[in-house]
Amino acid sequence: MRRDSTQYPRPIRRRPAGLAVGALTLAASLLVQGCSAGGGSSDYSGPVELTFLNQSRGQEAALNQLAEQYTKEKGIKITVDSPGPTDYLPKLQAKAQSKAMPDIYSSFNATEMAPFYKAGWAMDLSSELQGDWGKNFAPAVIKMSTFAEGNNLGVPAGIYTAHWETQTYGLLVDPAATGIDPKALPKTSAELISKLAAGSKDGHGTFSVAASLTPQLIQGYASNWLTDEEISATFDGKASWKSDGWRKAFQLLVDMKKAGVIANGALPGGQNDNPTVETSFFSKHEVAAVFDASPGVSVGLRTAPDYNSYFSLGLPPAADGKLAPRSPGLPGKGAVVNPKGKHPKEALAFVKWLTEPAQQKVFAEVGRIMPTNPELLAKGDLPPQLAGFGAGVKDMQVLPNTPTSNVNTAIIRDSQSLVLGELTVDQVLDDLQAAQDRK
Amino acid sequence: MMSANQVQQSDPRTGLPGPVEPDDRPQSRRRRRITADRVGLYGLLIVAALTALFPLLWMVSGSLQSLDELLSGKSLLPKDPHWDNYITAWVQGDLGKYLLNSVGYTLTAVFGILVASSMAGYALARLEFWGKTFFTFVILAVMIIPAPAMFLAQYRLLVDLGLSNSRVGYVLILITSGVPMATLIMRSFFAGQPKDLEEAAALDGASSPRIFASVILPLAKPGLAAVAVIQGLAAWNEYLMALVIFDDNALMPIQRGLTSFNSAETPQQEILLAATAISIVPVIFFYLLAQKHIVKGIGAGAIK
Amino acid sequence: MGLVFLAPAIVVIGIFTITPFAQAILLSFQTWDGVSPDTPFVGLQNYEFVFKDEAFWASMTNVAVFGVVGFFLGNGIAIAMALAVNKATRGRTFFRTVFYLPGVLSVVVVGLIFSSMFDPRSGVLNRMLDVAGLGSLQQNWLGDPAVALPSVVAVFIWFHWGFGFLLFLAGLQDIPAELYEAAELDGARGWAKFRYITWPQLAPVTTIVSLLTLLAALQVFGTVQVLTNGGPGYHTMVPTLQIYAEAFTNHRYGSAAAMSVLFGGALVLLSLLQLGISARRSRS
Repeated sequence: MRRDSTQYPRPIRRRPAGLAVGALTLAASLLVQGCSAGGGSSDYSGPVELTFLNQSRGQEAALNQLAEQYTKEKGIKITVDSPGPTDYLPKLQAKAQSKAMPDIYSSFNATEMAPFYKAGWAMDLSSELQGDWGKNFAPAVIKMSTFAEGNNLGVPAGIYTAHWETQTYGLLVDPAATGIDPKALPKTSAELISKLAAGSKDGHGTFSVAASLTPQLIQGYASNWLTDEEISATFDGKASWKSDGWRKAFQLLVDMKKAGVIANGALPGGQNDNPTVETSFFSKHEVAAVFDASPGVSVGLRTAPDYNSYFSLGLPPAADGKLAPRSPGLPGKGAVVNPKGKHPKEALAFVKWLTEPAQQKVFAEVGRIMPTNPELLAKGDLPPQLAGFGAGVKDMQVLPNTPTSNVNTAIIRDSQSLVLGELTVDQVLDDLQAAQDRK
Repeated sequence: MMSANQVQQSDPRTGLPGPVEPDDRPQSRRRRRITADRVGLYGLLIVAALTALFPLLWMVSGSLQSLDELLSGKSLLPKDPHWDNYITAWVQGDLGKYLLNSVGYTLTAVFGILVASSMAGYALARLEFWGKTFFTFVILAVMIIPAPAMFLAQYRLLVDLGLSNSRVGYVLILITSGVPMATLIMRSFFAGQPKDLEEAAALDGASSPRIFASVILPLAKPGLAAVAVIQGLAAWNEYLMALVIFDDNALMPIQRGLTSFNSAETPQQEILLAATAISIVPVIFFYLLAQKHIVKGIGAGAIK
Repeated sequence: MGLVFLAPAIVVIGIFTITPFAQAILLSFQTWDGVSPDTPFVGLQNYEFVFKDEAFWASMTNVAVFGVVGFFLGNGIAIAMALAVNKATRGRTFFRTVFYLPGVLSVVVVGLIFSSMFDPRSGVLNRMLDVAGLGSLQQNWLGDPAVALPSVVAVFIWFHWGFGFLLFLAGLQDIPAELYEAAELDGARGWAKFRYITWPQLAPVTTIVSLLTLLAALQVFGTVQVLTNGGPGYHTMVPTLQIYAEAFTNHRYGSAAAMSVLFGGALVLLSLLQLGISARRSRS
């Protein structure tokens, strides 16, 4: 069927010209706007301004509050940008590319931060910490932040971060649902498992741990048989993963699975696995015991402020363990100073101020986190929810080496497969060794 | 008026015209089968609509619950609608400013994409020139091969051009992301148009640009509208480059505003749901406007 | 003249995409941690690693499933719905809008909604199955290896079929009504009309929609990342996610780039194959 081909549809003539004019005006206006937004760079002779790129939303409120206070006292303007935990690293990496790195930025775990330290974006704080400032921190905290000579991440020796939070790992337990009395804690892990099994209603397991935290769980439990040096050597590739200590550590997961204690018979994975586990414990009460890091307590405070009848405890020792188990200790929230920024001295001064006891108290109260100042920690003011974590600080593992990201990923994924029954413990260990050997 | 398939019966008691009945004879059975078809059709449409809508309704319901209620997951409907979640979302998330930014970026980017892709699509579909296959291949390749460091390299480029932390830079990146796919879509629409009108116009001595503007573009409205919707949505939901390019809060689009509610340590999921509900209103509005151009009326009119 | 028309698109792509793109290919022969100013050459080392990486090939298998199911099921639903909406006389605007709505949400929110709905204990899906008396069908939708991949594929289809739907609808609108009227006069009915008029007229649109939806399925990223992040184990891992993890988590941009080149190359070949098939079909 042929169309009528003698008439073009009519009102179109003016469009090309109109389009062109419209496009030009639009482009022009955008250019003008763009120039004004991107233009202003800071003036050396003007007031000092610092930028702080903050990773943690948990401390955002406290940090903003303290930044304002500092500005009032010292007249230095501090801009805090909080992209949030998932977006923090992409933003920091992009900044490193454009050489517009912030003056101060949150320290994150060592494996993620290592490239920045190696590229010279972090000021070495060792000399500063040898002086009075060092007295502000528990010795274990300083040791944790130290990169020793020849560490497995290839970072030049030094200390690049200052922290105001100590992080340990342990269990959060609901006494009513598990029947575990805080005054009569289980003496061995086998006892813990049988108590959890007894408490499970109609076959649904009552324990959960996020896949992403299994490395810390394994590391903590393996300390029943391995010394800190042996663990550290394994991370460095100098000792084998196929040793008894690691084997028995992974066996814990298998034992839990066999006892029917693991909720849903699987470890939750995915990007939000730990928040899911925490929600499951604090809000939904679907599980009665979880393995979490100490900041989990502040999450519980925020999401379920009315639920306070739980307590924390460290992993109970294994029946056949040779040593007392020790929680992995990780430096928590802290800051790195950019030595290539415009005002490194002022930046360092601000960081020092943030770690003073008065400010640490604010962080601890507003965020419900464990401080690093020895006196604040020793005062034992910790509420029962944090007490178990706090007790773990005394002998926490302070290692010069951290698992490489390959090994970390392998532990996470293989733990899930282990619980699902798809891999045996020996297969997991073989896989870990292969991941370790990959340079 | 009665249609051919209806029969007017006389009422046996009074002999007067009675109610109009559907014709029961064989040729009217097609009408009844059509009715069964209609039921099937609408049934299918409604089931599909429910599947599409259910999670969204859940989202709206969640946005009206308190955090406790939402996380415990016990209720499908809020016991006590928390309308103030929306106010919190608006104020705390500074949504007004971010929405305005997003609208500006999206409209500008869509305009740029439509211009570039309709011209390019036409060229690839209808015009002959050196390197045509090469360019088609390049556009295809660029769209397909994922480049992990792409966003870092693009950011670096913007910095070198002096366009970091600027609206212009961001819009240029949005346009760049959308052009390959839009070009391929427009190319296929143009390829599907009958050539009669163009050939007639060419015989009349019209030049290519004139043909393009007067003949092709008006007929391409459904395709242009579809591309506008698709690319508009992509631009609206774009996140990574906005994160990386903008340091200045005043320049950020709505997706940045939403993330402040999505944190593991300070979860505010009920506010996130409320903020999301607010953020999709302009998109739905834009879609309602655009989809009118996909309606048959205009297409059919141009053909006649 | 054609080049003039092509100019704006090519200029924009040339400046902002080609350079980063070429750099990415170069990167596949280097080692880079994302921050360091040095990018030393390592020749084919990255490629060697990728060929031996089990996780990468597992992800390729998974994504093939995504591709096949997403393509056939997704497109089937899209075209059926486009035909249905085209045929309906009432509530067209309503249905058109509703069907496109899932695609309007950002992937993060979709992940949030479905993670919650799929929760094994408190999620809506399992609870509704319980209420309907189908309790035995309850699953750990995102945690059980047997159902994790199908669950993620289902969410992906829910999220994406509106895209194909819209394009098919636009294509259907372009078919002249006279063609159908002439066919009806010749006595053609439902299926015949579809086969001899609708399907051929839709050919260019079908080609492009097929290509784009296949690519979208094979390049799936956000949906998987927010729902399972490739787990449990590697059961829902897909190449784009693997590339991302290799670059960002493992700080190995070089081998990530090598994966991109291999994966992208496979996609380009697949697309050319698909375009070739469509071209041959439309010629016959």
